[in-house]
Amino acid sequence: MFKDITLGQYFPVDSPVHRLDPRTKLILLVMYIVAVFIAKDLWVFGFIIAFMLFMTAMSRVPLSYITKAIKPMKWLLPLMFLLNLFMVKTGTVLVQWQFITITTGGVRQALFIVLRLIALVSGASLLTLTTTPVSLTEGLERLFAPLKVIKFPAHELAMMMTIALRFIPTLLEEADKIMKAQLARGADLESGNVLKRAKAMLPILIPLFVNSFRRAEELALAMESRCYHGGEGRTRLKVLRFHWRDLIAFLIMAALIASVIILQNTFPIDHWIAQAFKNLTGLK
Amino acid sequence: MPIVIENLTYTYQTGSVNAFTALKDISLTIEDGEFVGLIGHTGSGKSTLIQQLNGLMQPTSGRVTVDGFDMNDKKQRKSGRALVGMVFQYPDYQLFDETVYKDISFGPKNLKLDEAEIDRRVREAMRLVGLDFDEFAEKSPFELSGGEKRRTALAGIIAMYPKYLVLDEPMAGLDPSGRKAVLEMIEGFRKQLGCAVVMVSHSMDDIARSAEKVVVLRSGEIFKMGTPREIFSMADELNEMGLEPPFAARMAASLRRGGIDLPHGLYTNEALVDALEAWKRGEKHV
Repeated sequence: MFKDITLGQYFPVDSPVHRLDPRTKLILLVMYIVAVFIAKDLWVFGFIIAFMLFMTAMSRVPLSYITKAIKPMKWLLPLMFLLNLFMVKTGTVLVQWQFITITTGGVRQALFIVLRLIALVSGASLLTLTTTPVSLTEGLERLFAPLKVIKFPAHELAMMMTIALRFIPTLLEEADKIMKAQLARGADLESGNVLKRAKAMLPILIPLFVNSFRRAEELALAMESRCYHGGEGRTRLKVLRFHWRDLIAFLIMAALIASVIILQNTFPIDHWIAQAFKNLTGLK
Repeated sequence: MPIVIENLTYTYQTGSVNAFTALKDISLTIEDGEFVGLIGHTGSGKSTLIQQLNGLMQPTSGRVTVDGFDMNDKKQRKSGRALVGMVFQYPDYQLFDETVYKDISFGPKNLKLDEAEIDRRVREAMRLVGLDFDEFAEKSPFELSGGEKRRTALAGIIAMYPKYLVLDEPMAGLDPSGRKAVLEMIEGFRKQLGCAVVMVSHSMDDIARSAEKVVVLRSGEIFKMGTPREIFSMADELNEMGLEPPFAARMAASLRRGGIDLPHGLYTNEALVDALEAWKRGEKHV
């Protein structure tokens, strides 16, 4: 039942993207998100998506893994599209029928929101697909390390993330076993209304929580007995170092942001189309 | 009517590169009231096999019927499952309610029994597993000791009056006296309820003591099936598979090597003691 969950899934191949420093990839993701948000012309989005496809090809991750990450949004995307289509009332009115109004601004905004979400999710999933959870948390820790001067617990947060990621498969397996134990006692998880079904989940959730707390306590003991006392003075077996390929990656990403800005200011194709549309139809 | 397994094959993650066939062409019958011991090395498919008995897993091919109910069929599976009580290795996977009493009554409640019958069964089950009603009924299952938790988990299944009781290493992690107590308990309610028992265990001694039929699994196939006498006389084959024959069988073998003339087929401590006494008296065995 829980076999299909692909959270933080890593795709183990060797590629230029995989070999980048995790810090680089985290910063690149932030830069990419900036690019996605400053894009204000629809056709520029085509450019960003093309860039995304290029990066995916570089990473040698099958495209199906990216689409798998987008699939859970199959209800959210149409909903966002429809909401924006009907709620946004700027630009020229295209359709007016009873209480429904569709405007050019609405169509634009609806397309924008959908493309933005797809671009963001595929970018983030490319990061987790090409970076192991361990190096990802290490990258986060190192990036936030300067904030330690203002008492930001960078190491502790990274350690918590590592532990959380480590125990996801364990918890799923345990949930499966508990569910089987209760099914064997005649638990009915499938029939009844929402309230009844939520109540039927209790015999599964309670042992899951109790066991998790017990395990957390045991883990803390095991860590302490191996002299863990926080991040202070802790060294790494493999120390992260920036390479020339990281510099190239930064340059490529900077080029993306620059071209997004230049392209949409030089060729505001959306605007031209809108103008031509107005002239043709004579609508205001 | 028995549990009948016909040509059961089970593959994990069918069709993927990780596909792994855990059970291959298993055919087995569990008769009414029979005590079946299931042994095999770790990863031989024991746990996968017992989960087929009450339809928690369905065969990739082949068929399991419980008293005629086809476990491949979603509707019949429910009726079949009600006949098979299943006790997992760790009681922590099962205990959840506020009190021991409520936890034990979870199963009977799911069988839609009336209040009076549930109460009667909970009391009976607690008596059978040796939990004092006044002391434990209102305790939280989370403040019990390991052995008490296991008794509570067992009682939760017993109270459903299963026709077949399936136990996955019910004695794992218990000390020798705890093991003995649990095994005696299982024998006790087998006698009282007349249910069949299928027990997975790593302890050959426990199997030797109680089982009437022993099934040896090796890499997903039935390697051998027979009476404990037949199975435990193949000490060499068992050793080869990484299974240690019962203490009495090993002892008898080394005594025989040392020149003490003992009959074959000794696998329980009692039989070994009798045979040794007979030998001391100078009797010749037949």
